[in-house]
Amino acid sequence: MRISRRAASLLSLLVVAGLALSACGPKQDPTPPGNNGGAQNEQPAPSTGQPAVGGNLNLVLEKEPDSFNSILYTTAYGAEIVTQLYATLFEFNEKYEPTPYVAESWEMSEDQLTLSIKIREGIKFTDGTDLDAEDVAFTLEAIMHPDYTGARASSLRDVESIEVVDKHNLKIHLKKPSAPLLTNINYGILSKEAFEGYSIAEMEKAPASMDAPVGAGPYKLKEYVRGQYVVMERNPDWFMSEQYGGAPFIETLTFKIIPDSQTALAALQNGEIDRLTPEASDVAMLETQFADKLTAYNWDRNGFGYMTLNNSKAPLDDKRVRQALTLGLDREAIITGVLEDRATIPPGPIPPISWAYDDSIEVLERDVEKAKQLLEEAGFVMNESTGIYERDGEPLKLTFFAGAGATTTEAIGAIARSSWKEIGVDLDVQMIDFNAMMDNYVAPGKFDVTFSAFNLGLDPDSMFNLFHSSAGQPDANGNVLGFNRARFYNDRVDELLEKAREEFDPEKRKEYYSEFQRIVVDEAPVIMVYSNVYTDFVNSRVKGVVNFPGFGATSDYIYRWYINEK
Amino acid sequence: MGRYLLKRVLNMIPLLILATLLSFSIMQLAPGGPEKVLLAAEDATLDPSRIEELRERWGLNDPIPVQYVRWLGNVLTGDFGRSYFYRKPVSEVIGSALPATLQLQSIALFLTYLIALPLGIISAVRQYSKLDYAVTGLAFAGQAAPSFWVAILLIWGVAMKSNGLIPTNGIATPGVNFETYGWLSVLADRAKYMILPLTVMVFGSLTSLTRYMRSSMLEVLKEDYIRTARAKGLAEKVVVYKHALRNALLPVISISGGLLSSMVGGAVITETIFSWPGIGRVGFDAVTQRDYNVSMAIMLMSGVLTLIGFLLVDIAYVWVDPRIKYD
Repeated sequence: MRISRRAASLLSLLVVAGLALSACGPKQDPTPPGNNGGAQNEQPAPSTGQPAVGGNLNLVLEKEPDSFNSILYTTAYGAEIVTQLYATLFEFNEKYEPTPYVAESWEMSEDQLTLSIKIREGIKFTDGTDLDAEDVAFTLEAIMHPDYTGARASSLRDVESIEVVDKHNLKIHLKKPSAPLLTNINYGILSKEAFEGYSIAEMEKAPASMDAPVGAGPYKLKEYVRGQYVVMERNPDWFMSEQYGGAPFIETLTFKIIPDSQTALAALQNGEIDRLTPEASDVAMLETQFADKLTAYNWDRNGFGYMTLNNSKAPLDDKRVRQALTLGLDREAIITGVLEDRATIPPGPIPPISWAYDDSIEVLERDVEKAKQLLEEAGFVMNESTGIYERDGEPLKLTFFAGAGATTTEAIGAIARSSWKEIGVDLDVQMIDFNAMMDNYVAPGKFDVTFSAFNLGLDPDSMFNLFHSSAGQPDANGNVLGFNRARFYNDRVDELLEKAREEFDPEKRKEYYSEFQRIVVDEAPVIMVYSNVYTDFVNSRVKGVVNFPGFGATSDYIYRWYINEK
Repeated sequence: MGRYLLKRVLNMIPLLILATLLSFSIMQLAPGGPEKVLLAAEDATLDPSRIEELRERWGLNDPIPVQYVRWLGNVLTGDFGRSYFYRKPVSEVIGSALPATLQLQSIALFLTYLIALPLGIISAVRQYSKLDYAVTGLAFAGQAAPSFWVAILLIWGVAMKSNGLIPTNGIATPGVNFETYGWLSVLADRAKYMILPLTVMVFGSLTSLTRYMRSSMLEVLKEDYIRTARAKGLAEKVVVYKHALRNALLPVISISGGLLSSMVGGAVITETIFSWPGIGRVGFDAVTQRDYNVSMAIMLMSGVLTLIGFLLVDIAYVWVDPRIKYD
């Protein structure tokens, strides 16, 4: 999933919460291309031709893919390949609802503890063997195995056991009800046979993990040359082909490894690659100078950059101080000055593109007077000679830690410093090595403010990782390793997140998330700074490109793209 | 000479151990570890106990000396360990990147010497001539212009204006190989990918060599024996190329000791900008991803080659300058 690639490059590796989920989905409704209305906006095709098989699509990978095993890979580069190689149980439509893929149908038991899945008949792996319930069980059980060496064990934490009923039926038994279950179990199905003779611990050594992957997805591996390129070719026997009018259409996909973003930009303009998400600063140039060559697809990021406030440490343990900082931060200036106006201010923790977003929540405008008033209510007195608020003789001075080297973060630090100065808060901006910052300051809670980013998966349950108190409990050494680095502990929020996790009725879930959002906005444990508006550029020779809400011209739908026409 | 060589080689061993021990400790002391990079995606944050589990399994919780001795023992048996990141043996990861780097670096090196030495000689012989100023100017431009800037300039100014003749990046066209194409077309394909990276690398490394050659030549040309040679009525060509050059080469040889190791060290910036799949990129990624085994193997390799390089320099001295003797 490309969203995670972007996150990885922008924010180091810590922020990709939705990786496992987004890696294999969202897949789209099984309707022919172009017939979907709603949030999906397909670019008007310049001709009325019907898609035909053929052509080669050039894509870019920033770095070497790490593994072609759907449950072992960790990078976004591996994800690009894995997405094409493997079929998953479900697809997800533009409302992020599950639709059939390998799973033909499914049913949850009354007590919501058993999910019965019917596997589509007649699915073949690319090596000609059958994909059946055994393979699905093998894939999921490998993740749950104690010897499993990958990074996805916790996504199946609610699964008790997997029962193969017969060749085309299996049951997933749960420890407790789990609403995000379908996104959590949606991994590329591995072939059990291909891993015969390899223990789970040794799985990575099997040829099927790298050199000879066996999947049932729309493309198969043709050639991989380390450091240079991955060539994939169309799987003519793809089991969904008929349903999508003969898809996949493009004969070969060539993923070129281009680590430098300026080089990739040149390659896009030169027609050597067909798709790129450029830096915000290059978007306007591409839109005006390459309008005849490239088609732009704008999309809202399903995530945000945010400031984490240390809720466990004075003075930020006081809600009024946190609110004052939120009101005082000039987010408009950040978006205009740093992000070239290609971002919006997120109203709350759940972005407006999500079904769980509560539309009564509005963006707070900057209000210097109110911020000052809140600080005074919290017992601070303005020291007229320094222009900084004081309490008990202590000036209101905060330290902002951010990873060095990221120009966006550095600029945000500068704007935060100047805009908080106006509300009488002195900010010390510290830019240090990212890992050193995490280990020495953020994890042990020795910070006031820090900056990072978060991507939501397909399910709003990812909020659990950010705001539930269990994700913010210090370990024996006093380090918080979970995402709740704000150390925000709120009983009602915990309760709401737990309830929403176990509730299957969408209306009720939405209510829980609404209340949750209102509390988070009021408590202000973090400051939502921006949510990017990204632009994907695709060479105009490519048609049928799907602009998926929250993910853009993602690779997941390449099977619908086409170059040749009948 | 034989005894001297043996002594030199034996001396290399403690030096190597010291160098690897230092780099091993520095790597391990840097914040973050491979398990965090690998698990950051999900588990590390959702289930911190997994971090400990993996560290335990990979032996990362043992004291650094214990880990070092274990690593050294494995290396002595030819086992460089496993790449945490690529889930493959280190030898495979490095083995697939090394040829690309050697290919580029050896040609770049050859061209650098081929151009720099004559340039240095000419500007010394014709000191303060227009040519000397031109060479000096070129050399300093090469030193002053950052390689990434030159590289991007070439991509925009040359590759993108060449109508596809010169590619912006990469090392070979997918599918063009010896099995399906004639060797001439394969070589032509490889060559067109090499033009820009070679230009950047040669341009950037001309300076020091040209300047060394020039100043050392100037020095030698002032020597008495050169005056004697001239007084004997020898042709200027013979004086310069036979008598002066050999003596002037000594300092140039002594700065060439690090060449071998820099050849395998790769050029991170050039490799990154031109998407050249070489060892520089692998090494850089290994350090940022805390892929200890990969970065240690590369450090060991460049350590060994640095030492061998300087050994070769010492041997070359004897060959160039008969006055030098070892025993």
